[in-house]
Amino acid sequence: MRCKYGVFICFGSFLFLIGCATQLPVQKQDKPGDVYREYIGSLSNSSDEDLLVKYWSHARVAEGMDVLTDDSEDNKLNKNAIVFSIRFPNEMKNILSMEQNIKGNTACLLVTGATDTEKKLMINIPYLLEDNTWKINEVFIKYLEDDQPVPTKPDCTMEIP
Amino acid sequence: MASDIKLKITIAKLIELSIDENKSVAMKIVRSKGNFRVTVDQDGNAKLTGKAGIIAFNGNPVLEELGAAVKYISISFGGNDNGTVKYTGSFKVGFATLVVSGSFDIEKLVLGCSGILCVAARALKDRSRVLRDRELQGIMQ
Repeated sequence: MRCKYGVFICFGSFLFLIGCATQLPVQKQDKPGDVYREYIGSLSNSSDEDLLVKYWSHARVAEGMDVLTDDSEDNKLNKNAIVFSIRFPNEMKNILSMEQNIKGNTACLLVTGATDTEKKLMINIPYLLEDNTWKINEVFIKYLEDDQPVPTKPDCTMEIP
Repeated sequence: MASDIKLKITIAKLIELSIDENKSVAMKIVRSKGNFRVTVDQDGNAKLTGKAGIIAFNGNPVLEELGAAVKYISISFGGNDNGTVKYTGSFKVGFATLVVSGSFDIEKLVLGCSGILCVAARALKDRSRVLRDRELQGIMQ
């Protein structure tokens, strides 16, 4: 009987060692909430271009960089729109809560808070995992009425009215 | 001015522009008990749609006041209860979608349209804009 258990233990140890040998090294990866906090901290001392490249998805960088670097009068309103998008956290003066959902290479971060006029607002941010870093792909900002409850669950599928 | 207030004033002005385009049909639409909708594309082509008809109008004068390019605007109105209309507006600006909602007294809003042009439409052309913006801010809750 002792011999029988010994075989099982040896076999189990063998599988464990094989498992350890084939497992890929785990890298520490910040979650979208961590990346968002870093993003807020970078707003005041980073250019629009730097913020776009470091924190936004490849698709948004491709779309936005040409607009940001075109200083012509005709492009002024387009550029303002991209700058507003990049500096969207400025809409929220106080953060009340942050919740995130991560599914594979996509995530949704919900940030709730208030504007500088004490208006409640929620921001849902879809993130994409690109180059092992969470990148912002879009932003949904909703200003809440006084009688509207503050959501607690991230929802990046906001429907257009 | 906070972004949400700016967006609400934009919604009021779009209604006023539609009234200036076709007062009789626009009044029927906005005073009806049914739902109605305003949409604007990135070129400023705007539409007021309701059971009483459709009005196409130029939304550019209002879009220019926002100070940033808008890819589209979609506003749904409904629940006309004793003249109080509820609305939810969605504005796509760059990579961001901004949503505001609230309610307003339709009669207070159209009161500014008793002349040939609505007050907001006139104000787009003169210096009384700031004054009218303040009035609209009070109407759009």
